[in-house]
Amino acid sequence: MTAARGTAGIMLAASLVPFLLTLLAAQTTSGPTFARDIAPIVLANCAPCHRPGEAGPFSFLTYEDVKKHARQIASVTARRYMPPWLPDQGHGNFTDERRLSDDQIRVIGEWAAHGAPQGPASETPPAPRFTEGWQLGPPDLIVEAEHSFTVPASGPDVYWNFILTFEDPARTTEPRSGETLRVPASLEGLAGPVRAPEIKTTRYVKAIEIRPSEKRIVHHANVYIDRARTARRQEIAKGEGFPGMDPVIERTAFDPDDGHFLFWKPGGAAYVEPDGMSWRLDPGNDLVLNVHVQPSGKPEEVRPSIGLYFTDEPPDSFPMLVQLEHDGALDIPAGDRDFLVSDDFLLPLDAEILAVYPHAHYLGRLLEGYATLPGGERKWLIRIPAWDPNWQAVYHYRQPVFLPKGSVISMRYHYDNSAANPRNPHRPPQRVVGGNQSTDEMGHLWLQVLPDGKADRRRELQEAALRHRLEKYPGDFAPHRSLGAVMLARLEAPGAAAALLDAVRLNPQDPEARNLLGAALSATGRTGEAVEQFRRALALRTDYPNARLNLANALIKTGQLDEAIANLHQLAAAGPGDGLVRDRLAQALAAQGKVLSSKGQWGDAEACYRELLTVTGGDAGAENRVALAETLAHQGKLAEALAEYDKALSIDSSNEDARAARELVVRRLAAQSGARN
Amino acid sequence: MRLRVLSGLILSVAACLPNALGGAAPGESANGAVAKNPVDLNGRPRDPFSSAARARVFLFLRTDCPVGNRYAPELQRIAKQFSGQGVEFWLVYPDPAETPAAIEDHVSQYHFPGQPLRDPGFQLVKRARATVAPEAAVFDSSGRLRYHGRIDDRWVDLGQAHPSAQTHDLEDAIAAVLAGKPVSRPETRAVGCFLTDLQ
Repeated sequence: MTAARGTAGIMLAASLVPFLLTLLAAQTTSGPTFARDIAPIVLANCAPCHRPGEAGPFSFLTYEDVKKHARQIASVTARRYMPPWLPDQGHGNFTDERRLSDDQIRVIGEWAAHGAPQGPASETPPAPRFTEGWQLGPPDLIVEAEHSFTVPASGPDVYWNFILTFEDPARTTEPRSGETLRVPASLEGLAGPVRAPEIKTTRYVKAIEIRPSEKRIVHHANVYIDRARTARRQEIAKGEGFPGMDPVIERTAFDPDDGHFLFWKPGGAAYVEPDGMSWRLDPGNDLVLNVHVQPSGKPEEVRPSIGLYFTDEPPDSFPMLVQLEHDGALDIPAGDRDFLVSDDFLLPLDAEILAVYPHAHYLGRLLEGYATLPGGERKWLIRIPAWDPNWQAVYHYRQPVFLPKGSVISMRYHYDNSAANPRNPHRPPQRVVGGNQSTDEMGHLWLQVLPDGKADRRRELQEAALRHRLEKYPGDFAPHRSLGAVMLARLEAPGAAAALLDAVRLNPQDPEARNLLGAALSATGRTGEAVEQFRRALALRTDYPNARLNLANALIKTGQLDEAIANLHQLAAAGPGDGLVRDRLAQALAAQGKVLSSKGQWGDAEACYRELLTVTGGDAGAENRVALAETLAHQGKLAEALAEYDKALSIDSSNEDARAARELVVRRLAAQSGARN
Repeated sequence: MRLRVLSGLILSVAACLPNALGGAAPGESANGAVAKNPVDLNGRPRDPFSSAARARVFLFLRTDCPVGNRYAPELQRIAKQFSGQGVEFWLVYPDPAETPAAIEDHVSQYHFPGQPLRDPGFQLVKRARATVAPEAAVFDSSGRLRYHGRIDDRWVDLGQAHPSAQTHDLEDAIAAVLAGKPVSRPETRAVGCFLTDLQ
C-alpha cells in the first residue's frame, strides 16, 4: 500500500514538472506578442485584402481587429487556407507569392493559444501605406459596364460576362442619380461620365486595372479582347451581359494579338506589361469581362469598370498564349476519385515561359504542369496539390523559364468526382463531361510563351499548337481553318490550301474558310479555282469586303476585267477612301483601257482612263496620261490629246514616246490649221 | 484535419462551461461597464426564456462574418416555415465591441429573422454551447437545450462549401421539438467565425 502510494506520488510530481517548467518559462521569457511578432506578418500578408474597401471580410489593421479573429487566423493559416496561395513550393518561382513560412504559422498559433497578447504598443510597426483608388494612378481611359448585374442573395456561385464597349460617348446613357464617375486628369477635356469612351485610333495598352465594384463578392475576373465583337451575340439585350464560366469568343482565323493574360484577383497588384509588350486596342474592339461572384446573403449590384493605361510604344516582343488541354477526354464517371486528363505539347522553338494560368472547375484536385527538356530533365512549371477554383490566378514567373526547342510541356490534371469532394456540384455525384458551365468540367494549362530571338515567331508556334490540336480533334473545323490561315501567313500556300480544303469539307458553309482557300489557291497559281471559292464566300456572306477584294484581284489576273471593276466599284461605294481598293481599281481600269485600246474601242478606253484619273485624284502617272492622250488622238480630239501629252511630259520629261506622239499631234493640228487656211 | 481537432477541443471546453457558470445567477453584473446579461439594442436586459414559446431558436451571429451573412436567406426560409407555430427566433450578437447601431444595420441589411440581442457576457453562448458564428441552438418550452450546431451541412470548412445543402439540421431540430420527438442529431459542428476570439 505504502509503496504503491509512494509511486503514485512520484508519478504525480513527475507529471507536474513539465507543467511547472512551462509556467516558469512563460514568466521568464515572453511568448509572441502582436506588436513584435504578429503585426509584421499580418500587415504584410493579410491586410492588403483585409482592410476597409477591399475584398477580405474583416479589417486587420489594428490589434483590436486582429485579436477578434486570433484563433480563427491560427486555424486558417495552419491549414494554409489563408493567405490563399495554391502553388506548391519549389514548383515554379512566382512574383507576388503570398505564402507564410512554417515558422510564421507556428508563431501565430502560439500567440493565439496564449490569449493573443498585444505586447508594448510602441513596438507595433505602422500599417503600410496602401494606395487608394486606382493602384497605378489615374488611368488614361476608364470604361464602365453599361448595366450593373444583380447578384441574387443566395444560391451557387455566379459567373457573369460584361461587354465593355468603346463607342461614341454621346450615345451613352445618363449616369444613375447620385453617381458620378471621377474623370482623371488626362481626360478632363471630355465632358460627362466616361461610360463608353470612344477609341478613334489604335492604342497600345501597357496595363489595365479592373475594378469589380463589389470586391467582397467578386472572386476573380478575366478580360478577353473581342476584336470581332462576337460576344455581343450572346446578350439578350444590348449591354446586359450574359452568364457563363468561360465565355466563347470567336476569333478571326488567326489572331496574333491574343498574347496577354488580363486578370484580376483580390489583393493582387495591378500588372504592368514589360517594356515592348504592349497590346493593341483598335476602334471597334470590345472587351469581355468575366467575373466570378459569390452571393453574399443579400442582393448585390455589380458594375465593374476597367482603367486602361496607354503607351505610345507599339510592341516589339510578341508573346503568345499556348493552351494545353484535353477537354474532349473529360468524361468523368460519377464517384471516380482520381480521373486523369493529360496533354503533351512539343515545343517547336526555343522560348521563354513568362506566366502560367491553370484552370479547372470544381472537380479539379491535383494540377500539374511541367516540361521535359530534350536531355530528359524535368522542369516544373507549376504544381497545385489542392486546387480551389475560388482562388485561381495567373502566376507570373520571377524569371522567365527558358525551354529549348524540343522540350515537351505536359499537363497532368487529376479530378475527384466523388462525394468526398465538397465542391462537387452534384449531390450525389453524376457523370461530368467537358463544358463551359460551372457544372461541367475543364482542364486548361495556359502558358504565356515568348519565342526566343528578335523576330515575331508566333506563327511558327501557332502552327505547332494547331497541329497539336488537330492530333486531338482531327474532325474539328476551326483548327483546320486557323492552320490554313497561319500557313498562308507563313507563305506556305500549298500546305495552306490542303488544310483549307479539309476545313471547307468539314464546314462548307463558312465564308471565311472559302475566302482563305481562295487566297491559298490564288497564291499557288490556281486562279480559276480561287475565283470560284471567292464567289462562294460572297454567296455565303454578301457583305464581305475582303473576299470581294480578293475576287476582284483574281478576276484581274484572269482578265475578267469588267467583273473585277464592277466588284471594285461596289467596294469603293461601300468604303470610300480605302486606298487598297483605289489602287486595285486603278490597276483594273488601266488594264481595261489597254484592252479596249487594242480593240480600237477608243471612246470606251477614254472613259476608262478618265475614271482612272478621277480615282487616282490626278496622280495617275505619265503612262496613263499618254494612254489617255492616245485614245483622244485616235478620236480626233487633238487639242485635248495635246494637253494630256503636255501633262505627261511635265510629269516625266524624259518620256520619248510621249514626245514623239505629241509631235505627231502637233503636226496633225498644224495640217488641220493649214487645210482651214 | 487540424481544424477539426482544434475545434473539437474548444467544443469540449465549452461543454464544461455551462455546468460551471450556468449556476451564476442571471443579472449578476461584475461591474457596471459591461453588461453581463443579455440586453436588447437599447441596452435593456432581456430574458429570452421568459415567454411561453414552444421552441426558442438562437442564431449566433457576428456582423463581420461572411458565412453568417450567406445564411441569411436560408434563415429567412426556415423562420417563414415555422411562422405561427410558437417558435421564437433570437439573433444573438456576443461581440462586446459591436455597437447596437452596427447590429441594427446588419439585421436590416440581410433581413435576418428574429429579435436581436447582445450577449457580451457570453451567457447565451455558454448556455447554447455555441462556438462559432453562425451557429444555431434550439431550446424547448422548458428551456432545455435540444440542438446546437450548424444550420445545415452546406459548409464543410471555411472556403469549402457544397453548392447546396442536403441535411437541414436546424429545420429538422425545430420540427422535432415541435413534434415532441427527440432530435436525431442533437449536436453538430458548425463552420464559421470563432466566438472564442471575442472573449
